[in-house]
Amino acid sequence: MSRPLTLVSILIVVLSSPAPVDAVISIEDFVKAKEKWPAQVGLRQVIEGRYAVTGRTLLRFHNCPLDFRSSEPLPKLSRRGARDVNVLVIGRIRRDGRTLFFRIERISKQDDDLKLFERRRPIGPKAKPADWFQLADWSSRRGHFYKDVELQGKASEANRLGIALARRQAAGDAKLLREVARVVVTRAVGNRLQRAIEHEAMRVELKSARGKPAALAAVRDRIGRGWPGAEDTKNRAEQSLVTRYRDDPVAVYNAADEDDRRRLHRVLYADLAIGLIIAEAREAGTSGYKVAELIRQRVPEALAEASRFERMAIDADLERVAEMGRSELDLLVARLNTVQRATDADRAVDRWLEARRGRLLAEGVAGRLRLADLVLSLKNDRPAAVSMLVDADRLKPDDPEVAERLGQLGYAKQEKKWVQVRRDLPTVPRRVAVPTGVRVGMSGKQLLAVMGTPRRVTRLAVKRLISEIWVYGDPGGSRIAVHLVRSRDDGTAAVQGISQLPSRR
Amino acid sequence: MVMLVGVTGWWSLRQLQLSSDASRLRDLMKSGLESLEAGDFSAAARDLVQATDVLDRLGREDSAADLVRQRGREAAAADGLVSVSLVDILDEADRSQRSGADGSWTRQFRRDHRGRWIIMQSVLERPSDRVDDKTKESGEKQLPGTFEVEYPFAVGKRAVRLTGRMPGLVRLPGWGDPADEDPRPVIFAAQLEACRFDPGTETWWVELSADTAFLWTDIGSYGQLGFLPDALFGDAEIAAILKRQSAAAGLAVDVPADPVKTDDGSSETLPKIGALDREATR
Repeated sequence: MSRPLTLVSILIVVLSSPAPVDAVISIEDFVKAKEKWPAQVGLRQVIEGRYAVTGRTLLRFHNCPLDFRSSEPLPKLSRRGARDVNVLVIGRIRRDGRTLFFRIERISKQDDDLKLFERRRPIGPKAKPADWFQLADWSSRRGHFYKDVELQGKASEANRLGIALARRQAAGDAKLLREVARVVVTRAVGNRLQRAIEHEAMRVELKSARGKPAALAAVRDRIGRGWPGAEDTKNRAEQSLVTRYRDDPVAVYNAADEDDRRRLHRVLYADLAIGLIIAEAREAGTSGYKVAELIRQRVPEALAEASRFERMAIDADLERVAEMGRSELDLLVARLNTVQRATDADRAVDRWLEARRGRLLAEGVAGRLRLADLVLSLKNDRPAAVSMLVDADRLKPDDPEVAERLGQLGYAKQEKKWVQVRRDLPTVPRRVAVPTGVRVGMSGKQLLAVMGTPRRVTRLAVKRLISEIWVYGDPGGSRIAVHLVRSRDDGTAAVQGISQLPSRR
Repeated sequence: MVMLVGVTGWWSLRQLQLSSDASRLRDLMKSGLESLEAGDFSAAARDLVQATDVLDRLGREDSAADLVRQRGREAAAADGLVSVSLVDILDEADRSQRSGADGSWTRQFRRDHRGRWIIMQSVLERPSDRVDDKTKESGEKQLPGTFEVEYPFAVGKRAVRLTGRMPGLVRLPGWGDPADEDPRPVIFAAQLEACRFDPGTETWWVELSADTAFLWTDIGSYGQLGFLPDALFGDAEIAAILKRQSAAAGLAVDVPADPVKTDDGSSETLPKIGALDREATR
């Protein structure tokens, strides 16, 4: 019988029979309802499936114990391949004594399952993810029943295509994307895809939270808690990966392997953390030093970013060096030396002195005495100090204080002229005696990390600064005191000096 | 007759002045406390010192008046802080002393630092039984509240100690208890009086003006000065210290750890001095 005729026959049979009886059922469902077979004797049924064995009048389906017999010789069932064994039979269950069998009344050849799968593919603009999932369920069930790995693979493919369609339709909506991610789990498509869709949802959420620090902080915390590697400061991505990710985060994340994804979690977390530090600092008017300290503390690998803020803060301080107090100047100089900007440190001292020079010179002898002290303590510039003091002596000849200072510098007045009489004077005493691990310029946080909690702390407020002494060691033995200066403007503390304390016995 | 007219006139003028002052009292207190809370110590000191003056003239001795006086002292101290750290002062002093220029240094100290305020957080000690203790030699009895502080930063190899007297100290629970091996720090303010070197003990002594030292009580201004946040002690511990000091300073009014703004934007302290204000303006 030709195929069109067969179909027409089936159609006639289907239309002329009660609907429940004539609906095509798979051999899988037929076998599942095995206990109902005795009750179905005589009932016309349309069954489709893969046959396993055919004889002249006998046919057996895969995984079905029932014989399918024909009273006439069966037509030749041509096979183009091992898979091409799908048939559709119409007939009734009959009894042969106590044995049941299925009497074939009509039989027709069907397309194989892979062809059927291809024909059922949802295409066109009206295709829905649910259509793909339906096809996936069909392939999965059938593949499982026939132990057909290829068909089961088709089920995975349908699931993936359904997810991809759902993801495209949910693009830009974090909530919908998360629902798709949940579907990925229930359809067992794989954690990788689920994570990729959650990442996309996260990026959408980040976009909508832009400019809302509280929302961004919540996202950051969620990433830190739930995304592997996000809080691991040693988990570092190569710069090329970081650059590509920042350009096209979703595509790069989708394609990244598990190791790179862990690294990208850290990149995402770090970018977010730094962005928040900057946003909060901008809101609170926090200084660049504080921002740098927070970045070093929370994102220690972002050294360049921290240094950038520190550099900006130092540059801003350099601009206002003339207005600074002495302690602030010392702090700035210590910071400049720490970042190896000794030339700028010298320049800052020069500008600071220059800003005071005019006023101090106007104060006559007292001002020159003060200026000489400053030149000595800040620059250890003896010739300049001597010149200042000689000038003071010219203003008020034989002033005892001026003479005393010049004497300390090794000068004596001979025939109304100041001449150097001693050259073996010690240099200006320095108070820095640095114990291992502690250095001038390091932050309070770094000091805590290196030395731990101090045994005793003394704090003192002076104008615009808090001066702190942290004492380490045993009161009865060796003790080290570390002097930190904390700026009132930004709250950052930096070590300014270290001294060995005498024991307290 | 002339005398009677004169006395009546003087009394009337005084009453008029008092009435005028009393009407300004609320504004002075409000703006002073707000400035203090905002860290504008100069404005706070100006207004609260004026308010204190009015309270003194009104003869107010109640707890709310005491609170305003205390805040006035704190604002004045915060406004008049010394401009360089003790480390820098002592460094310069030591350099001068070593070069034999003690005289010029003393003059410089008097000019630049004497009378300036320090606000300090440190463990205070009762004066030790030192061999060089001149008061002991002379049989002079130490006054209550006399204290010493080790300033733990050696200048060269020389130790530094501060000494002063603060009557409120004796009311601090556990003050000077020799059994207390881990005494709490005390937060106080005092004016610098002198800085002298004792060659016998190779120690620098920073003397604090006895009549000026007082216990700090206000956490708001303490934070504004830059002491907070305190990563080592924790802000809660500092609040506890200040509360304890408030009690020792005789302040009956609770000092809020985190002043809550009222509807009109003023701090919670203001309603607590409301009674004073109402009475003052009657």
